[in-house]
Amino acid sequence: MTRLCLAALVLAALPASAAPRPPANPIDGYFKKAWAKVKPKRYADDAEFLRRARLDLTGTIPTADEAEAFLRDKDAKKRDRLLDELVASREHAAYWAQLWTVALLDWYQYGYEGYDRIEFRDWLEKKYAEGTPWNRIAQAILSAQGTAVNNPAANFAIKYLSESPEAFSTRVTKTFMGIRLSCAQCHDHPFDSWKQTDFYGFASFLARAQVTYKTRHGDGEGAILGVTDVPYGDGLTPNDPDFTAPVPPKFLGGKTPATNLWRQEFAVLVTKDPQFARAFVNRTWTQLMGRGIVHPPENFSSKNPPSHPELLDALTEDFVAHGYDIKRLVRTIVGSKAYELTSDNAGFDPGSEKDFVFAIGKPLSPFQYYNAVSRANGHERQFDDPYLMIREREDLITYVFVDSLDTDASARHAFTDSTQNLLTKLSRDYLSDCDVFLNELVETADDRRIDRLYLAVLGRYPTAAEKRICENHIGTASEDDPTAPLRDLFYALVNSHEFNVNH
Amino acid sequence: MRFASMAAWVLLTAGRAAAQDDLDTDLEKLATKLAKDGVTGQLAELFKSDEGRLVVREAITTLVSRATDRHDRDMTAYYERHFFTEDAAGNLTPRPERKAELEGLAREVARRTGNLAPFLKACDGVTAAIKGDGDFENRARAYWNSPDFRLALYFRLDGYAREPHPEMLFHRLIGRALHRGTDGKLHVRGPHRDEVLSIEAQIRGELEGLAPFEDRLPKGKHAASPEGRVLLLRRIAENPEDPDFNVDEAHAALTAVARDFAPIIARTVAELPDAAGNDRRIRSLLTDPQGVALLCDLARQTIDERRAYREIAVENFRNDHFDVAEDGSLTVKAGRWESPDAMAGEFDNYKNEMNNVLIAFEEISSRVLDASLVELFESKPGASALYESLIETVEGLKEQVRDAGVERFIQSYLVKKGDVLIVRPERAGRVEAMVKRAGEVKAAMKP
Repeated sequence: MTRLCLAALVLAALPASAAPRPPANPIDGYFKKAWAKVKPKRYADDAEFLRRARLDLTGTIPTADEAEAFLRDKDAKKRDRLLDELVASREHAAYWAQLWTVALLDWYQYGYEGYDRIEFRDWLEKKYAEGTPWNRIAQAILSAQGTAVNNPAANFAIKYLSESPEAFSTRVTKTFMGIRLSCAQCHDHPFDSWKQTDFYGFASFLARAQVTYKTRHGDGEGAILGVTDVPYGDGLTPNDPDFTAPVPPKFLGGKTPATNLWRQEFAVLVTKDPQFARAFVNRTWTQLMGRGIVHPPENFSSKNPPSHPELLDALTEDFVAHGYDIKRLVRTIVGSKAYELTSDNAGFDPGSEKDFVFAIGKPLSPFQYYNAVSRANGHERQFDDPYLMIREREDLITYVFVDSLDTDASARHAFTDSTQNLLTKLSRDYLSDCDVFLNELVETADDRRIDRLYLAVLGRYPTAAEKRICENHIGTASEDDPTAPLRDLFYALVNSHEFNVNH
Repeated sequence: MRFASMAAWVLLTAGRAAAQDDLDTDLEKLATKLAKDGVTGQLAELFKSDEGRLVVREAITTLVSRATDRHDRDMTAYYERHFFTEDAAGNLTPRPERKAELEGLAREVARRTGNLAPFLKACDGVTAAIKGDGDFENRARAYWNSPDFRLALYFRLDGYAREPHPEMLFHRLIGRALHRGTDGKLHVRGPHRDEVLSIEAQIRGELEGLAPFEDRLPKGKHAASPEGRVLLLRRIAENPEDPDFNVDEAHAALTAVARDFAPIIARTVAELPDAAGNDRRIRSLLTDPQGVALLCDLARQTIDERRAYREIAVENFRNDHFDVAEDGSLTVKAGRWESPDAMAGEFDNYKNEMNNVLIAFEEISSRVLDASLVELFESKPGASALYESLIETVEGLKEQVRDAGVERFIQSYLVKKGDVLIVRPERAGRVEAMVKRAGEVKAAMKP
């Protein structure tokens, strides 16, 4: 079955955990007041909305057929219906799991890494699709015991505890709580209230965790790592002359362990901390809206307050009150009027991004870019086995970034200009074969050809002026290579700002 | 009701050890099987809250860690129990189900014994090269000349002793990415998946590259076997104009590896499903004779690399202890030890390391009746293999204990009554204490 048919089928299916619709959107209520001062221009048209929702929720663009069907649909409720279908789809669960796998385990590196990123991602996807609340998912990740083979959730702990308890705790504060505690590892935090003793007290909760190492037939290279915990032992003794004895565990805010299971208790303390829910709400907002209410999302601090504190508080309260329901949160954000605004920001001050009076254009991430080009040029249809496409995608993106730019993983899912040159290289060197799509276009009726080209690449119909330019160029085709002008047009569109930005 | 079947009835997860869900989810499933009233009902309520599950996990971890600690404190006893039964007189009889494992261990000890001769020759070379009559040199020479010290070095340099055997080679190439799923079959999974699939892709790519030359294969003895075919095809690919078809030596080496691999591959293929995806990729490789030949060639390359490593291993060790003059003569490395006694102390420690392992196995060798097993467990050249076997076996037993944490809790705390589980009467006090503790933990964790 091709991925095209598969995509259509998963969109059509509504599994049991379809996202519930909130009765009234709290975001709309908030911005009704906030927009009194600076008014938004207008809402996005159907093409802009469809493409944005597709990229944000499933990491790829609509197919030409999807775009055409949506644009022709006259139902006033079609946007709501689209959002319901996308949030409930398996593609969305897979994309959400991909985003969080990179956030938690960084991007794929070549060779053996000691942990299994694919099974971790599959496990995340399953949990999300089942509607498991975020606090339960996080607890399972932070407290997991087992090996990289028998417990997929353990792969996060295996990755970081293999380095050190300090590495684990740094990653937890950054990704789950949006706090940069790492500065306090070496000295008292220069800009915030964290002290070195706070860092080590926090990290000491991991002191009783042990990484296990299992070989077979004496093959050390084939060892399988695991993680377990013991109910005894002291806290960490930092490798620092200022510390001469183990530091007893102490959570942020001062809580000491009440049980012998320090790491498992740590998992509960993290998820019960108010910052946990705030950080997740803010990160989800950032992913969908292009800018955090606290921005950047991993930098909650007294020096970086939220731009809309009441909004963040209201969304967080709603998230917690509804049992940390992730899909509900996602559906609330994408169902808001703020999400639906046009990205046309002409006439607004650059600083007004934080007022969310227009949709913030987000450069495609490498993941989205690969998916979008593969869909537009028909490349994705050659993969009967989704694993092979996942493998190619990860290899190519890693090759482009590892060889070209010494970035950490956050940049590979971030919105930075420097990634664009690399994405162009990705397209030019690896995804340039668009013969599958061009051969289809050649077979398409003359009066539909330009429409199909624009629908497939940009998700919209061409304007009259664009159509004239394209028709003139197609008129230069020779008998030897009838697809040459179409190829030129395809490349021009794929390299356009409109294609490269999620607007 | 027997423990194992009760646990399986409760958890309703066949092959749970193959793929766990998180422990909290397991506890929630367990809660649905408990009676709702009395102390059992209180236990069921514990499973539903964060602090309650923490307290229960504490109980489970205590059960598990005490068991695994016992494994660590008395590794030999657990090793012994894994392989043997004991009669009233204390004599040990091998368990029938461990026959294959013991035979594998015996083969490995025999291999390491066989590798000793070249190592002793290398030691002869070092001993002969030690020059000078100083106290350091005299004592170093005495140690390097002593059989016990040489065996201790051989134990220490287990990388030297360990010639990769077929099971290890197959594990390194393919087996490390094969893990048993909930259906009991082997599947391509785990953190080594991508590396093993890269090997498969590499072999497939080479086969595709060699295929165009098939019609140029010479008629003759080697062209009849898959090993011969791939060797000849490679020669043609290397030099299409004038290929060198003399592959006798390479063919002999490759068929030897193929012979060793054949039973391992047959066993593996029988357990790999013919399902789409990565399982099929590996199955296709292992059922393609020429693909298997190329796989065997990778194994042969690993053997050659390991043999080359041996020279370096002794050299590195020698260079750590001695300064090497231009003429190759050796003097004890300046500053390496404070005194000849310090040097002797370190060398004695090497001997103690090996002897501690042999003393541990003496507990077994002194009680088995089979002479071949006595010889096996008293083998000094094979001491590193015995040690590895001890570590791998006990780690495997510990992992089984860790995987069965919830089952242990069920067995320890619960008993079946009709369609539900209830707390054992003798555990009621403990459960009440857990309920109280959960309240204290909840209060302590309050924001």
